Amino acid sequence: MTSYFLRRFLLIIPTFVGITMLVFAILQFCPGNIVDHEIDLLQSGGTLGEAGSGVHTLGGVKNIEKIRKEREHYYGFDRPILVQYGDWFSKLIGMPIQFEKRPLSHKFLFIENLWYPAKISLAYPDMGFSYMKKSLVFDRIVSRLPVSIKVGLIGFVLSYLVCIPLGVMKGVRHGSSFDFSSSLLIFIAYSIPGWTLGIVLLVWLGGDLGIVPLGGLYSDNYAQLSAWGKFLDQLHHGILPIFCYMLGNFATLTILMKNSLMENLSADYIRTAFAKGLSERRVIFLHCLRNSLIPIATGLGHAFSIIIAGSYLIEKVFNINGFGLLGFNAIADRDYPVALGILVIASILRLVGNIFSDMLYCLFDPRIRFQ
Amino acid sequence: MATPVASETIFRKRLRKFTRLKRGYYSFLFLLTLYVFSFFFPLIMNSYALLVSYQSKWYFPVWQFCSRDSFGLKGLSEVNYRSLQRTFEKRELARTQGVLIRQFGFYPHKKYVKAAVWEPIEDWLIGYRIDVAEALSSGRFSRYSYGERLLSEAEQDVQKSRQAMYELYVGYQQNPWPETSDLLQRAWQQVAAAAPQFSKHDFTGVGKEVSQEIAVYKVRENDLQEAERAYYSKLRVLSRALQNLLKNERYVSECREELAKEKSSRSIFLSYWNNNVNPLDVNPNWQPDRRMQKYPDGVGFDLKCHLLENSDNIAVIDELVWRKEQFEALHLENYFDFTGTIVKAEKSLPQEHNWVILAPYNADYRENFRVGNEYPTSRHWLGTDESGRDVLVRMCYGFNISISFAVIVLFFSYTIGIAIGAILGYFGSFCDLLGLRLVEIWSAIPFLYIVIILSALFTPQTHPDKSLLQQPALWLLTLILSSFGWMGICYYVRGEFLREKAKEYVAAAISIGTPHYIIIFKHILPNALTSVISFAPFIIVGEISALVSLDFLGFGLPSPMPSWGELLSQGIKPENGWHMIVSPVAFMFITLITIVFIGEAVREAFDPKVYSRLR
Repeated sequence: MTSYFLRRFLLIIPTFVGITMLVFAILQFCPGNIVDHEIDLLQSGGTLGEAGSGVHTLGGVKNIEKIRKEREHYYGFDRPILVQYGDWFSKLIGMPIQFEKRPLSHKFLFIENLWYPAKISLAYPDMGFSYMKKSLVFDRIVSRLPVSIKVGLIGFVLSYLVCIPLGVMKGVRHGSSFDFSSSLLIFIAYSIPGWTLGIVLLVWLGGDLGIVPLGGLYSDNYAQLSAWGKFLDQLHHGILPIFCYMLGNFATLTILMKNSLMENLSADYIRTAFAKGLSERRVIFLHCLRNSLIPIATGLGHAFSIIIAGSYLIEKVFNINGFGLLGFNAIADRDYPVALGILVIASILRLVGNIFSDMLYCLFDPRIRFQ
Repeated sequence: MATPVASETIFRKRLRKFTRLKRGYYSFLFLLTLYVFSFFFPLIMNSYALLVSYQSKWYFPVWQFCSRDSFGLKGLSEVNYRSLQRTFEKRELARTQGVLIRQFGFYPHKKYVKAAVWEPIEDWLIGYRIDVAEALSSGRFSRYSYGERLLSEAEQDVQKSRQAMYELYVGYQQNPWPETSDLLQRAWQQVAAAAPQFSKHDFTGVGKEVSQEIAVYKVRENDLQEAERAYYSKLRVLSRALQNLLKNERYVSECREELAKEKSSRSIFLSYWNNNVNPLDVNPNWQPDRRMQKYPDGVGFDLKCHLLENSDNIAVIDELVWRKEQFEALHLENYFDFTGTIVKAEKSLPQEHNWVILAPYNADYRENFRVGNEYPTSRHWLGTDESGRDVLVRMCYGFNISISFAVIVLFFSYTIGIAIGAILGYFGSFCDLLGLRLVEIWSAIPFLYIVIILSALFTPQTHPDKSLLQQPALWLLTLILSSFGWMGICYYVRGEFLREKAKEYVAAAISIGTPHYIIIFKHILPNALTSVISFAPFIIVGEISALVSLDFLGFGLPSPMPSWGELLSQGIKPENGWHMIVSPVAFMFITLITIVFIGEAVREAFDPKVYSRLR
């Protein structure tokens, strides 16, 4: 068993390399990279780069090709793709390889951030710089985490708190009018994606009635509020997104709970328990519920990955600056380092989550054996 | 002797069970009927005519593109079949009752014309004798008046937002970080006051973004550097916005000047026209303004002069002839587009009966030159969207596209998923290990990348006369979604194969030397397939919502194609009406809940488990 999981963990490494390599290769075919964007900016009369970068101003249209070459060299796009990948990957795992004599790009990208290499460690991986915002990718990702975790965790916990009792009640009263009406509710919840309902509620409650704010997670005067006021403010802003977030797995979770309970209720050991003369309450809540929770509990393995990944649709609708929206914008803006950084974190969480949920499965159900 | 009765197959049993589940069965019938029916929507809701008879020849514009010149109209562009019908009706009137109809097309400056208002003009003109000059000078159907209104609104917007932006900008300059908080709020309030007007300009919500971002950093307090950077970059955005603003302002003033010039030249011309004076007689150097030039692609309206055959008919025709001569003398045909010639009645009368059959609901999913963002009317039952496209038609066509799309994606992803899952599960060991890793890698690719890349590589070409399912963009999207949708099925089929492989019948088949492909396809697959099929409806639900969300994000179907998500993305803008949200959500909800009902019934019919409970 231990050797099985050890092998699974070791298999993460080639899979991870495969994922990053594939996406890295795909990005090369993505039309319109940062250099094109900068040249566009130049031609429309802007200045190149942010404050502190090598100062370029437009020196005539003739220079465009030269500038393009320079910028490609600066970002390292002129190297072969494998070298680019090796550079990126070796920096990521904290063992940078100098493929050629080339100044470290961040030195020139950002003068005010020269302190940054001191931070680099395994706990603070070097994912490079965001092209668009000219800041450290890991900083950007970490800065989005609190918001994502807050919304995701509350939504996650709340949906478990609602769905498990509801599923149990439905299972116990299978066939009753309560079961029927709540099934209808579940069908409705399943047929309307959370973010769609979010739009309707946002426009109706936020736009027409003005009860809830139109997106965002903070009021403008958030800093001046008292602790209680801050709490209320958060509640006011968070209620709709969290509701929509919950709606996403409301139906599946409840049905899963109900079916699992029903399955266990028809098992032999329950019959035995009833035959023994135990009270119904005791049979259901002590004997049956524990076993029915197993399929639900194994889902916890992916909990962290789900919480982090969030839903970029909900974040986009409600204008929440979370992890999902960061990833979406990075893809839309062709901000490769950020997109890759998010890919790294998301895929590691996902791969580990896969194994973790199998481990939980073994833990909760000792009958299960992996080869 | 009793004849042997064939035992009922499992599939038949399940089908019987499914038909007994009323809710799911009726939902299935409902959806199937509606889907089949939806292929005939072009015959019901369309802006094309179903059938045109012109000069004893029949045309079917729904299937073949007919340009204007094929019906004796000027130009090669699309025909407005509704007005063609009226034209034919009037000609028919002329043919049967001896009425002379002449048409004058007048093409005004395109720049000011954002929307055409066709019907009121035509309705008003029918049955009346109208002086051309009177028609031209009347404000009632002058589109100059509409242009002027638009312009004055734009001017007010610019004024207000300029003020607000300027105050915000000055505020930033005077108060450096970190003492900006009060000022920021004040500035933002000013911006917020003008916010409804902002939507039309480039710098939408810049002020809000600034204050929000800084508020977020202020919450974190410690990250001053980041906040300062944000502050400076926002200032840059702000200054760019100001530049845009100035550009807009310049544009408005230019427009205003041009409008004034055009109006004055028009009024000069009209004053001559009304007094039957040739302007050249008054001023030999008089020239029509350059801005009155003809715009060949301009959207114009036809002033239809409808002269009844009565006592002073000849006089009227004479007058028109004279005016036409005047026009030619002035070379005005280069400036105004007068279509048609003045001829005597007997020459112009059409010899045959031309007619048009329009679709019952005469509206289209494509752009037409109609007022956008219109609330539901009797003409447009669910209103129109931003670019004046009928919402109901878009929703109904979108239904067809969504379902077709989901079914095609389902087919492909099932094919791929079952094939790969079967191979992984059947051969197992090393093949399984390697294959699973590849599947894992594949499933980790963010599929938005692929959507962006492929849609850029294969620029979709859409053409109005192609039927909806012939669009390459739809096929491309189908390909992408199905190549990313098979993983779940693959895992499931693999599991089923692993389970089935261990059973005796497979061992028996192997021992008598049955080839692998026969074992896979004939022996195991039917057993593994049944439960996979039972969750097909839920996959369809998933595909439809995926299409809607892609459209919402702007990576879905290209613009003229009817889609639910695109309308949602319009509806979320504050300046647009409620009908743009309610319609797509309602259509999506009804479709999806029907499919969910079907799926639930299928699942129940396929479920061998019988829940029993003891008390």
